[in-house]
Amino acid sequence: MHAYILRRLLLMVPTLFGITVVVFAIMVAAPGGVSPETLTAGQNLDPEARKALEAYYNRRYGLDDPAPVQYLRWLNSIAPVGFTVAADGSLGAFSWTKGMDLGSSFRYGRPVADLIAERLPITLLLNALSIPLVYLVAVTVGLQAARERGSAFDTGSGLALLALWSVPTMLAGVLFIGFFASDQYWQWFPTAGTLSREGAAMTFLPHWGTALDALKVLAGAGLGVAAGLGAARLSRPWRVGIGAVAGLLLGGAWGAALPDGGWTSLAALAAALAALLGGAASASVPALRGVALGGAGLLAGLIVAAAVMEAAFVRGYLLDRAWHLVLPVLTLSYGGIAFLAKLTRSSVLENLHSDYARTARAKGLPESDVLWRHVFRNSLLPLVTVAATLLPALLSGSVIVESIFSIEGMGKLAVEAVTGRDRELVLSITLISGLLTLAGYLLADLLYAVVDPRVSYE
Amino acid sequence: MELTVADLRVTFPGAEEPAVAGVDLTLAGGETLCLVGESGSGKSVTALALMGLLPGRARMSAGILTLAHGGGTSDLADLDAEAHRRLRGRRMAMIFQEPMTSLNPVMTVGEQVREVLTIHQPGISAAEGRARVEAVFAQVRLPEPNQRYDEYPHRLSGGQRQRVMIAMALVAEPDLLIADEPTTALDVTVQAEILALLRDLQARNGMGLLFITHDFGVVAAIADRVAVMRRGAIVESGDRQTLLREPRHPYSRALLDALPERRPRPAGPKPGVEAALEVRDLAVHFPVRRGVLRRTVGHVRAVDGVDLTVRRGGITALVGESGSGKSTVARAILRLERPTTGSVWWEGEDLARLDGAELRRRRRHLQAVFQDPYSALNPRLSVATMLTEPMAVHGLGRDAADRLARARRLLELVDLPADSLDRYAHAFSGGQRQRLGIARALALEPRFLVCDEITSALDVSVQAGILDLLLRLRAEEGLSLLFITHDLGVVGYLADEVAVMEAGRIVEHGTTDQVLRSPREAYTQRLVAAVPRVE
Amino acid sequence: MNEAGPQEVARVTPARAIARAIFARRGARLGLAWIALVALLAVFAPFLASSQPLLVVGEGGFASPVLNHLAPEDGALLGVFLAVLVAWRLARRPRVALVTAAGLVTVALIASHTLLEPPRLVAHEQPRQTVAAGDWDWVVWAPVPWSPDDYLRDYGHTGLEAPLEAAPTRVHWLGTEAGGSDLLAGMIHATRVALGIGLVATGIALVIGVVIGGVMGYFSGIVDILGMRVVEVVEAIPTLFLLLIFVAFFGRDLYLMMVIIGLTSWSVYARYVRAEFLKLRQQEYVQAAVVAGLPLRSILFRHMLPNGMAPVLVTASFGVASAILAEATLSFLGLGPVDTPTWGRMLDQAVQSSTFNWWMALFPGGAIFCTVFAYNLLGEALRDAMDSEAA
Repeated sequence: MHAYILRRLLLMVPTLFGITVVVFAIMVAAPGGVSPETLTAGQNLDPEARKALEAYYNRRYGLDDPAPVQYLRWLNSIAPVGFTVAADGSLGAFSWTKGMDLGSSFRYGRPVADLIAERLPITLLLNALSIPLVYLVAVTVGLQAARERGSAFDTGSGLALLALWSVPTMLAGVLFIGFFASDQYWQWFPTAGTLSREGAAMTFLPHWGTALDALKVLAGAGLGVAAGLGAARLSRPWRVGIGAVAGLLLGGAWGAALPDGGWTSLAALAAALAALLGGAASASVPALRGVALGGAGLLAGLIVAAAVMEAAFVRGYLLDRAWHLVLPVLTLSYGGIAFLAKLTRSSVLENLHSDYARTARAKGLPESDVLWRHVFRNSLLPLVTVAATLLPALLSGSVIVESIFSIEGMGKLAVEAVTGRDRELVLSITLISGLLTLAGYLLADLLYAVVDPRVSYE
Repeated sequence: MELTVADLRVTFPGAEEPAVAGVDLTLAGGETLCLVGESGSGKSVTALALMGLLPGRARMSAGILTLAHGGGTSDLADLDAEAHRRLRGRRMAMIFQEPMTSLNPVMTVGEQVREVLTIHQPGISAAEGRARVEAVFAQVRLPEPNQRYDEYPHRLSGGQRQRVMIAMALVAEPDLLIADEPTTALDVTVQAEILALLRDLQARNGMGLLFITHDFGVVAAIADRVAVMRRGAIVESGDRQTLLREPRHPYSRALLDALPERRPRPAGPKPGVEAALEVRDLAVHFPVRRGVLRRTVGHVRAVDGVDLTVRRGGITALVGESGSGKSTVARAILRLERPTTGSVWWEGEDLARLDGAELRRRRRHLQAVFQDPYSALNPRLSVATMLTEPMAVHGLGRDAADRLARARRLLELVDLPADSLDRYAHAFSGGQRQRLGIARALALEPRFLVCDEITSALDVSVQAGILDLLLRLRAEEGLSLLFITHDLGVVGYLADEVAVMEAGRIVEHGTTDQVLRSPREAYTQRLVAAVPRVE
Repeated sequence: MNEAGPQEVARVTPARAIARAIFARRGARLGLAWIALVALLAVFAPFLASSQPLLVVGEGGFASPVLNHLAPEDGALLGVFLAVLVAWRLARRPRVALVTAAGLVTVALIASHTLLEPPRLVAHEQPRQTVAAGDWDWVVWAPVPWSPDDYLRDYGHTGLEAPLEAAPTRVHWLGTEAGGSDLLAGMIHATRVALGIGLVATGIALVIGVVIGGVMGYFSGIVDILGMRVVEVVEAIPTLFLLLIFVAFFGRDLYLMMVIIGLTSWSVYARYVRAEFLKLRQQEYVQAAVVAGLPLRSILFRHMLPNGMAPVLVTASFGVASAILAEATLSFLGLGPVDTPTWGRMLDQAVQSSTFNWWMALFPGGAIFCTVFAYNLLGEALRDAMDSEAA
């Protein structure tokens, strides 16, 4: 196993090498390439100053060297072991402790490493929040669809998932902003950024005016969740009924929150939410109905609590951050949910009809045990392999999401770097995203070996 | 215990005929009833119906369907799903055909067996359950039972997995055991062991055994009573001796007559003395790579020094169990694999040394027919193209019309209607596809034919037709044949000479009579003894 | 035993059986219907949305201004349409169909480029002014009487307008864009970009992927190892990022973009073809073909490729969908093709200066959604049909 990991890590090096060569080649081969002229183009300078600036760029970044030399210089600077480079760009002595230097961005004039260190965490945060959300929702929905194959839920959700998958990310983002973040409809979420201006000055945790208010919120939330989970355990007709009624009430409240809504929109929302909650409540997978009804209960409880609160409520840094991230994370995740849910469904179906499932039934196992003790773990195997490809997809998605929601992350940085022909930045971003992707592949393969005892990397 | 079945019917929506059309059975404790039939006869569906494992869309009805067991009497037709589930594993158990896929790959075998106890006897503690499981493992003769407990299925051989399945079925001490072709996928020596094991266990437990099979040899080995099924109905039943010796129903008679060991060897031309194909010291080794740099640390010796001769006009059988290397020998002769060392002499040339256009020219004379009728034909080509394309490549036939005429003649040769030419593979049954495969092989007018287990996937009656076809072709077209099989009955019927392979080497060879009647080597003796015979 | 003779269904070729299975599915029919609609809009765009009237009757007799303004691309597309129709009728004789279709397309291409010469500068207000001056007796306008680049100069600076906001002076069924041009006209002409990019980019990616994947799958060994490294390199860069780099550095030409999207998305086809070929090599009919001494070319193209294309075609359908999405994303980020209307560029205008211009989101966004959904439906139906045929 160790030999395998070592081998994979070693193989990463030529692949990273390959990626950076490809990207560098594209940049250099383009008309105009990376030359001091393009860098000074936008600025308003007289010819003398322009020439001086160009000469400075040439010396500092070696832009007048032939392409292979430029690439080698860059390789030298990012390698922790190599030749030192003096401030005026000439090569110094060989050093073992040179350290990695990702260069300076042309556009920002700051070291690339600083820029990336600033922007990377927020992108990682977005993705780290998305992945568990995607898996949780996708697996529950897919499992339910597979268990009730051919039912209304199955065909309906199949179609809905395909439609969801077809919605372009930008459209979803735009619709989210248009409906939930603009003053024409519900303005529940902010449009841009990850932190409101007051957020930085807030305390970390939310803060209520009086202790009583805090208790009210806790009581509301607790009672709501308990009521929801309790309803989920009732027999089918009861819980579907409760779910539908809850949906009507919540939907009505939602419609009432519209600034200039009429009765039609209120009725439509109430009906839609009633159908959704009723449908979820009828699910045979307990997780699905528990989450749906519990969530509805939580929402109802919080709304009631908020209505009876007396003093002001300070959001706090943590909640403020979370509030800003809701829409972006949703926009980033829905595509993955659609894809994984379908994959889960087909994997579970395949395993439900397998020979070993038949053996389990022949042993006298109840169908729920067949599902959870035997089929479930086998069905997860393809999901693990797919996790490897999920990461690059999410990184791509981050580009769009960050642009729409004006989040200063790696994706937005990538777009700025590319449009600004910022060589150092582009190369570094390529390196980082390539590294993350390959690390993701390796992790997925290792995870697979852990989950599947048949696989051993000897 | 007593199982009584009267007028059992099972239908699937959308099918023209019922899968099971009025089946009557009885089975008492300590008794073994063999249910025999060819594929599609409905025997598996009957078993699933008894167990309550039919897919949801199936419709079942029965006049009587009762099981009298240790806990009382249950009317299986009238039970709700939950009650039926409680019987499964506890009072009636089932083992299946495919040991490779019937066990959950991500759970240890011990845990899978202990699960039966967890469901049906929940009072038993984990430690006690483990002890019980290890005891059953010992009973089914698994080596080192306590170590086996913690192993995953993929580390066990086919025979061992089937033993695990038997252990799983027996651990709760059921009154009825249904076995659906449990030994069909196993080697013949392993099969003999498993059959002996089942007999012993039954004698000890006194349970009833319903054994489904298509192999009359197995029937002769373990049955007390036999029932023959065809198209969903039982055509004849009775005790073993009577039915095997004097079958009354024409279908049973036809089935028994189709057995190769029951048919006299047809008179045919004697093979010539000189060798058509001679293999000398053939070796095929596959490298095993390990480590960071994938260095070759050893070799898998699939074929390890094989000498083989096929006389002109003769049929030589190559026998062996799975993993013996017999298919690899065939592939090496046909140059689908490159021999590591050794030579293959055909008409004075070493095929192992040839390449490119030279090899292609010689290929015309050595053709092959393969095992799986469902992957043997290109689904996108019409029969006409399938047969004429090789002709065109090798320059046989003056023009397209001539080649079509030749194709028509080929179809006639293999007893297929001439209008098959513009049909596609999916229109033909398994036996017909094998005939097409033979026709395709004959399209190039070869002088040597390699047949790799070509009848293993076919029903006995279909197999008889194919074997007769081969004998006729040998007589009329003067072919020499290398026939690879694991079925000694077919060998006795078809082959002039036999070579026995084990672990990449030939352990014995000689004429069919010599090797089958009086084998010299211990392995051959074991092999011959393990084959269940009808007589 | 039951050895039933070959049934009548045997005469149907496998290809036709699969086609029938596909058309039996509602999803496929819906998807194909939408795609056909989009294709028709693309071919007949200059006649459906143009500021030039279709037919005028004046002092000089009949005239068709729209025909004078036809560009070579328009003629070529009409020729392709005709060729497809002819090939459809001749489907029973594939060779004749192919030759005739190819011939028609070539003639159309040559004719369009030599005969059609639209005027360089077009003043879209002119026909409207002519009508206002009363020089024509009878005018037949196009169904949408606006060209996509008609910025309505004669009406002043109109800018973004909601649908039918300016009625009854000007009827804009779907509203107008930021520059003042009619949205419906832009969307009709944008169908060309959408379909073109989808089909051409996927076609390029398919060809590259199938060739590389097939070679890797058939030859194995060192070829396979090297090939996998190349595939890994291409896959390790997030596709969007690679696209961005290409487009930002090489320019925003539409045809270049088609090629680039194709170049960045071939790896998934290569993987599928490689996996299929590895499986196919073990199939007995392939081994029989080798034993029969058939040439490599026949083994690859007659025996292996047709049987391995099933998953690739399914993926190709999804691939067209993602190519359309890729172009929309690029346009949205401001890197789309210049001077051509595309749905993505229109979507970009939906949220500007924090007013939600809902018609700019709904219609172009809806068009993208419907087209992508159509291809996804088609892909799913293909996958179901091939699975059930294989079973």
